[in-house]
Amino acid sequence: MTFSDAITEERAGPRLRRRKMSGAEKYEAKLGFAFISPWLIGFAIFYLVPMGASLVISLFDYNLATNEASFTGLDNWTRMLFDDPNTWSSLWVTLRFGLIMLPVSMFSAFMLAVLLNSLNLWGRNIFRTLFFAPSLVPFVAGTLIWGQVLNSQTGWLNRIIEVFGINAVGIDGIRWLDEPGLIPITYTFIGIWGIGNMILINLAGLQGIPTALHEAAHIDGAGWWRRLVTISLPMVTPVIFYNLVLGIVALLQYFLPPFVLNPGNLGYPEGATNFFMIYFYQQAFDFSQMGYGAALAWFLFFFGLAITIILFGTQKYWVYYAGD
Amino acid sequence: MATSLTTRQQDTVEADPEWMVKARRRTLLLKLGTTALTAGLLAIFLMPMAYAFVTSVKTSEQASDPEAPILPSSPATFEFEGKEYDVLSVPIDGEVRKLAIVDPGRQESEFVDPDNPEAGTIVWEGNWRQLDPVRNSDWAWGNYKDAWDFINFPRMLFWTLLYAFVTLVGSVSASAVVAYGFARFRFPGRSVLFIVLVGTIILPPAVVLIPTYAFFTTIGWTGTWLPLIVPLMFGNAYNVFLLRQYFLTIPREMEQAASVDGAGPFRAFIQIILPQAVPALTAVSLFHFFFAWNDFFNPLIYLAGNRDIVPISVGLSFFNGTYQQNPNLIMAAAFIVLVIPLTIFFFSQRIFLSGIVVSGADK
Amino acid sequence: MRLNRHMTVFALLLAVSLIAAACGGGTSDTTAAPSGDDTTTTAAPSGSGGTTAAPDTAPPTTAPPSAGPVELRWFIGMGAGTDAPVIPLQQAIVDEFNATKPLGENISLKMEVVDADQAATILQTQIAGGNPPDIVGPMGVRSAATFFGGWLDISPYIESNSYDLSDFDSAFVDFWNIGGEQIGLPFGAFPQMMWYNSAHFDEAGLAYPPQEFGAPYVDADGNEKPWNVDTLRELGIILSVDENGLTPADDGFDPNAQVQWGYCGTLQDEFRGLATMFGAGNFVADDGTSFVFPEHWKDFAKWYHAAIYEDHFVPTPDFRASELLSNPSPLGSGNCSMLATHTWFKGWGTGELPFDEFDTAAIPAGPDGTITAKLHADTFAIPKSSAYPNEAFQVVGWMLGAEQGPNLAQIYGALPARISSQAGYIADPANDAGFTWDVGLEALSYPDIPSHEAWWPAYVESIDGLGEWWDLIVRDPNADVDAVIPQLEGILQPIFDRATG
Repeated sequence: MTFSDAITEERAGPRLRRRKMSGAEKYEAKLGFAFISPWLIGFAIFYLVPMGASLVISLFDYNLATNEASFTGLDNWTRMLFDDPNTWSSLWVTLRFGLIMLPVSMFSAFMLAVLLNSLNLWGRNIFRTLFFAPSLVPFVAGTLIWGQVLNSQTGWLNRIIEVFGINAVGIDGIRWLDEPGLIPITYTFIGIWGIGNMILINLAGLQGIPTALHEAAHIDGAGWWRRLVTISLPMVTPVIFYNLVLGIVALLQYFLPPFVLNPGNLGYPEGATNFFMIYFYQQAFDFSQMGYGAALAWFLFFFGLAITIILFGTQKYWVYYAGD
Repeated sequence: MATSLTTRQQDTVEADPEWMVKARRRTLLLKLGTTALTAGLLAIFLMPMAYAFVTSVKTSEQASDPEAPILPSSPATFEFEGKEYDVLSVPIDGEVRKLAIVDPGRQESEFVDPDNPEAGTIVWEGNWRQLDPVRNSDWAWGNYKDAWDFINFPRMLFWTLLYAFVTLVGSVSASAVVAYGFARFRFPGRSVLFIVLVGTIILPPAVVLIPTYAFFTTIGWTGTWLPLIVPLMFGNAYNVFLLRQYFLTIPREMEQAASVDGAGPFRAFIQIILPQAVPALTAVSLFHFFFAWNDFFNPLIYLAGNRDIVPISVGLSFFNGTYQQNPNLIMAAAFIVLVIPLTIFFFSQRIFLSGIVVSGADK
Repeated sequence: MRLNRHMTVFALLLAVSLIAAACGGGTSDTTAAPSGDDTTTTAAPSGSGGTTAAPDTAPPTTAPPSAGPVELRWFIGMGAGTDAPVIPLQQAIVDEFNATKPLGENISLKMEVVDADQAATILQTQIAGGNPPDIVGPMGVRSAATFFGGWLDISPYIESNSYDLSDFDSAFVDFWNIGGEQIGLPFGAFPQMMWYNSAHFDEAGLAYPPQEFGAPYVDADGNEKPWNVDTLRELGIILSVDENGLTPADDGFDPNAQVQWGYCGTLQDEFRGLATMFGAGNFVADDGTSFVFPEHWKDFAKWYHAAIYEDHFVPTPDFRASELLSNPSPLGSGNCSMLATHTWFKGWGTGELPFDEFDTAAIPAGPDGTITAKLHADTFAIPKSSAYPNEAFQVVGWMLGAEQGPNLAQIYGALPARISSQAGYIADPANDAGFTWDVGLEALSYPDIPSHEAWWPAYVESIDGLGEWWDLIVRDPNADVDAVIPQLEGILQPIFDRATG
């Protein structure tokens, strides 16, 4: 039973609903609501009203500095969708980054998980712990680390590249944070650093593959690569799917690294780091235009929801559920 | 994989000592190669951490020394007439002498010989910056003690652990119940509700920050831990999502058997499903623990100004003043903070990772 | 395709349910959603319950006496005050207030110190979330600007409390009269001085810069030349050195291996603050809406770009951000010879430099011979939505009084704003921090008028635009400064137009 099942079921839903629910079905529905009631109550108390309020705020010209609001109807929405080029350019900056970041991080997370799952690896527990360590570095320290490591003059990254005979240090070297074309690559480096969670979820998926499958394939003479592609990969697609959904959500909300690395000039250089959430933050908090900011955030929400729903729909073509 | 290889060959080829040796050698090479490759990748992966570590054992003076080597060191010094002077390697009359520079200059500098300070100053012509200083390894381990003392670690640790464990128990158990509800029971609107649940993850938290804060102010919870703890007691969307995925892999027959025995659905959940899901619950608990451990913005907003009850994540920002930053102490503190979750991670792998094999094999 | 249709239906359902919820929330929960009054401008969406009941123009004397104990919240984080050493000193002031109860038994004070990097967001959340602090500060104009329109105009309170302003320089008082509203009174002034590393000057065989404003620079041979930006450049080049000891004037100088810089500009400033050395100015014409680029600031932009990328006596932004010059400050790192900054630099900024290796000197004159030492004058302001504006004003009055004023000035490295306190303050050995205070006192006579932090339309957005433009010059070695200069008008004028309608 999976999302795709849930969707299949929902497709059958109208038919189910047309006829009266049997007693057993009513009982099951009651039980279902009983089990999800903690979340329903929590959602109603702590999420529903703030979420609704922020949607309402998007219809107001609401200034955080003066704390004054005036109703402007759909003005924020029309300005955002039709008059503000930054809406679309910041969405493009985000998606362009995602086109590099998502495949690279998902591929590395999978390959690293395969490596960390290998019986040929000595000290697996220690390796796993160390690969996970960067995702536990506290925010305040992480900020400092990347600012210094990427510094074009004194940063370790350029100094190490220089060892290989490439001119990297200095004004005419590799300026990771100043060159608009390099920005997606720079931030991918930073992103890769925090893929510990993804590795872990993949590891869990790989461990779930019955060893008998591999042994059978081995007897059939399948090599390492073929076993990886024909057994491991399909078997972990549910986990990859989960990583993909959460990866896209994290991508759309991508904020902290570009925020802390460009103090005083968000979006530098030439708007290359003007990610959607950066633009949201600038409008809502820097310029105190919370009404407009709320419209931006809700636009992002509907965009993300659409992608998520489409992804759920595509599952049946590529995600393999052993339980089906 | 290597073991299965051996077994197979043994079946076809009768125990062949020469072959066995070859296979063992091959396995050894494979292990060496795999481990070396992983270690190489890890070295690249951890490069920024290495920078952070080196910084954590330097003083601010060492960190801003442009010509210092990577590992912490300090120039050797010599005290002359009440002041400390750096010792440099000075080539004089065909020999290199270690002399303390007392009066640096662009064309010529004055030195004294630490072995014979009474002899007075020695003048050397040339630019002193081209001389190599005599360096001694000098690790500033004291940063770790300073960082520990500076922000009252034990008290912050108490609040952090309290937050992490209370919400862990509450959030994971509530999430498990909810996830089970979504995974097992058919009820009208289930898919819509599940998308709403995922939707709470998609909406950027920053946009609901102010309405949520206003709500907690109205009920008088700001300035306390309640806004941070109580909402998590009703389950957390990420945890529900992950646990639901796991529950979906457990065959229905298990509960059906239980219900034949007369167990109600809740008892079946507790007695049949939860024991099956221990690895998944461990995974979710770990993720939740790490989330709570590093949660920064929420405690910052809701505990603003109350420095006595903040968790460690917020405490680290105490090193950042308006003007003053102390990167060396921040790094030292960060490593101290890392120790606990990393230790927990290391030891939990036994339950977390090996356990999943069981659930996979059960399918 | 059937599937997609259903997806659309779900999305719609979700949207509708959320909107329904939102409308429900909007009408039933006045604290969380903007109250939909008929008027276009309504009260704040939150905190309207009682806190805004007293209009800010109401004569404070008629404000109802607060019944029961009142705890006022003092919010620290928008400026100085979050550095570890000063936190206990501020707490001592709070403790003294609570021990002596100068405003009656009922009024006590509580201090909230927040992370400086996040302070603005936290304050926005508190104010908009209906939980405003009562006193915010210390802070400069730049920090206060994020909340322009949200600060209480204290003029009526000054009047009703008969607060005596005669001991303040009226220029200081006007400093905080922004857009016709008096949003604060300065507790202290932070004059700008040239901080220099005397060991660097000794090593290069150079004489120190003059400590008297307007005095000439006397070099090691006794020759006089004017202490101006040309001399600064000349000394700066000599004081800049690469790892081989070569200066930018020598053949073979390697700017990528530079280890010492002659001049590091100012600290924590946008372009206007940096450029005041060439004279004060304003990007807004007298009409308050049109953009104007002062000619001497164009000259400064060219001078500064050349200083970084041709003369190499000012560090590139990358070097400046690296640990060579930021741990804890350019001067304190020991790798920078001169830094033009304010007295708030005292104590922390010089890092581990021994007292006998640095001092302060006069700010050099601009190209036309005028000397401008820009001024910071911090304040404590009161949010409009504070529940106890009159009490908050009285506490601020107590803090700025002849007794506590100098204490606060000392904590934050300021010269007391009260004229009567200044001389005694400088003479007090407790305030010795290794530099010459008299230079600062003299600097007060050369303030930047208009201020480099003066109000302009859409304050924060304009500063963002200015920063974006300045980065085109200061971060690009090959920038054609003459070509970039005119671009500023295209960035700022539309922002001004939008803000002034």
